Amino acid sequence: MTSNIAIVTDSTAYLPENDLELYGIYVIPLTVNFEDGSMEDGLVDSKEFFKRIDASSKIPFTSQPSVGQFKECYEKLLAEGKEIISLHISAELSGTVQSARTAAEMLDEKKISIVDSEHFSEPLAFLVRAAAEWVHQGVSRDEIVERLEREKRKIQVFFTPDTLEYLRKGGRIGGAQALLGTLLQIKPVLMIKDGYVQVLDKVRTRKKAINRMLQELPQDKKFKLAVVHALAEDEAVLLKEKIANEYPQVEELTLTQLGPVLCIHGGPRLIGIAVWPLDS
Amino acid sequence: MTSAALNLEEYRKMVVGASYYFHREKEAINSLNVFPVPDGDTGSNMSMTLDAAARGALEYPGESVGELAEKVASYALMGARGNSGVILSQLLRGISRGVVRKDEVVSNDLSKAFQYGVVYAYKAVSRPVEGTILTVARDIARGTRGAVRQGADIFGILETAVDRGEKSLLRTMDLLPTLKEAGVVDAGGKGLVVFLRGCLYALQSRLEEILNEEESLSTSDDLAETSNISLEENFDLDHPYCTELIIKGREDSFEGLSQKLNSLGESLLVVDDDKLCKIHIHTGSPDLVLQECLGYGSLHDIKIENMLDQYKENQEKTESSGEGITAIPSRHKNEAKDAGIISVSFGEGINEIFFGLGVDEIVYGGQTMNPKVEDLLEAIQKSFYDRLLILPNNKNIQLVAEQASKLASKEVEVIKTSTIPEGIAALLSFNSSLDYQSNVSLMQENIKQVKSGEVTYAIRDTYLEGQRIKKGSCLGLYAGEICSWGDDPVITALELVKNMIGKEDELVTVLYGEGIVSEKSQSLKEALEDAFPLIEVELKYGGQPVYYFIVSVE
Repeated sequence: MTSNIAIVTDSTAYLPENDLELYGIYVIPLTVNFEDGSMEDGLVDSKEFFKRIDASSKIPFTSQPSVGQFKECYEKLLAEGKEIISLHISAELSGTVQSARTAAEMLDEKKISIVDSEHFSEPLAFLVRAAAEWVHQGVSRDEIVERLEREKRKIQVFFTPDTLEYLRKGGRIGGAQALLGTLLQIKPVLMIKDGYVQVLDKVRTRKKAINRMLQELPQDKKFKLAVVHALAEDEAVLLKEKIANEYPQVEELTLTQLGPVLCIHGGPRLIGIAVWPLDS
Repeated sequence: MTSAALNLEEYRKMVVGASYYFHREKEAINSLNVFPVPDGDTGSNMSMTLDAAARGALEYPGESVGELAEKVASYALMGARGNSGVILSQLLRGISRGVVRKDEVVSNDLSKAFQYGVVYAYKAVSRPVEGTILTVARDIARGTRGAVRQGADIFGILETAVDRGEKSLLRTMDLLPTLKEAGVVDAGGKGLVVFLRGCLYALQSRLEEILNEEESLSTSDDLAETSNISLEENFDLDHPYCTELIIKGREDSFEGLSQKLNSLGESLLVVDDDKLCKIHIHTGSPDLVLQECLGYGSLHDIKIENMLDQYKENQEKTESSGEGITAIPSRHKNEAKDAGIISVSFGEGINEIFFGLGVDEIVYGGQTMNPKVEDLLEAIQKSFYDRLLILPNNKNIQLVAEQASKLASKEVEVIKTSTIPEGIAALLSFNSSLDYQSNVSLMQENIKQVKSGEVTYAIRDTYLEGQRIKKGSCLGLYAGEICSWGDDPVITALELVKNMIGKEDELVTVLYGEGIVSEKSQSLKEALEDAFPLIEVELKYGGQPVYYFIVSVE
């Protein structure tokens, strides 16, 4: 790597180890706080994780990385003579971007670009990988930031939680608030729009919810797609197969498991898709 | 009066008298139902519509027949309940159009008014069906045109109208196979004929006389005026024997038979066809009825039943289905929405479900209690919202909702839901971030996502596939058919769901009614889960009258 631009993100992108090495990406972890101690967010066995949640009397809460964590990371990179693009989980959902900004203000601001991805999980990973790719191609920092701002708005995320309980407890329920009062079992189909949770539709069964998400796939464009889930691997695998068979427009198809922070907010059995339409 | 022309007082008398007369006849019309299940009784709905019309007539202080007719029509429209109530109100509107600016109404005006009435009535219905009140109205209008050409006076016009109406009623059975199967004429059409007969009687015998007869009539056996066709069971305690027979006549004529039988009972029906005559009467003396009939020919297919045997059970059922209008508080405006939602519903559990799904206002009503146009209009006008969506949740309330939406000064769309589950399905697709018209089409589209069924009870004996279903039995209804029946609501519901469920289905939702204890409904949930292990079953308290269970499958 000849470029002097470093990419920093946070743990909610849930990038696998080899991606980090391949692209030279730096990850600042969020923290999950149980009653009896904390753990770093990252790729962990979600079954074990939910077991731990079940075992504790309270649902754990998550916390953003400290300003200090960012400062330490940025300082080291700046000392190596690098410029920084720091790309993070939606500011509507987490204070991570805020921590990053505060850290940058304490350092040489002109060399650091903080980007609010307005996403998390696989969509964030999409953007991080793309940014790393552009760095590799020798694109300038300003141009990369401009592209990220443009592309982040194209990415669409749809998901259906098994229950709204976790979104509610975590205070991330957004536009789905209105669904809490319903007496009947409702499966909401949610989306991330303008950085926060909104309701796309409401149906009565999970199968319909999943089919409803697929209706949103672009018909006339190629796209990258990631199936994301929390403890719903069987369904996620089936969904991935269905998409592979029925949507020839899909250019890249991956399956990702949500990490602890998102599991806490989405709850077990959440399943969703992240779609990035590509310019033809 | 002279029978050559109607003046203001006579028009008023006609409407008020007809309304009174109708009131007395409504039960006979109520019993003309295709399915033996509790429903939005046509007779009661039309009667309430006419009560409103009569109020309009009594409140009008002016001197113009045209204005009076208009007042009558507008009151009828506001008070209209049920599809037939709406159509009746449209007929009255047409009539008022026909007599506009008249000081008095002559035969030709009245006949013309009937033609207008037919035009308005057809216009009120999006997909007119022949074999209903519409057909009867049209046949009547045609008949009166002929009568005018022959120089008939007002009485003559009304007599022709009644006569043509009766003939047309028999035709409804040929036009609609479901009526024929059930052995009934169209109830709305029947109501129209009763109304016209009421008009005629009111004019002939004067309103005062009819009103004075009120007391005596309720106990009197003198039923000279009630020789109307009543094919269904309607009886009082003095006439417990439902007697039916066929006479093979010695001659072609059965002249005088009706008059003789009339004094022997009520709900008399005499239908003759050349040498055959079918008799139906509720009487205290079946022996005397048979004796009179023997004078005309040989007797066949004699059937005598004591209706008292089932009287008690019937009483309990009617009592349990009579509800009053309950005021349900309206919720406050939600700033995020640009349209309010009004839902017609009954049962506290169902109301709560509706509120939870974003309904702003509930108008009490359902299968046995159809709200009137005015009820819906009031809910529309007092809503915080300038744009509204109405979920009628019953076929017989859709037309009323449409009329209310036309009268409202706000933008109102009726989502054509026919059942409670359809209402729920429509609500689910409402999305406050979309614009009004998109929501209307989404909701309309989403109705089809769900299959609805009900378990209710038989209000009379009936036959199905050669089997006798006794009054009071449980009936499972789906897609306009009786799918299951039996003594136990749970088993009937289980059988019903078996008929409804398809390969693609994943979820059965059961709303249990006010008469069902929760253990009983729990046993239905368990039975369903045993029968369909791959299907989710959701059980909720609906609290509805009339239906033991409302089920939806999706």
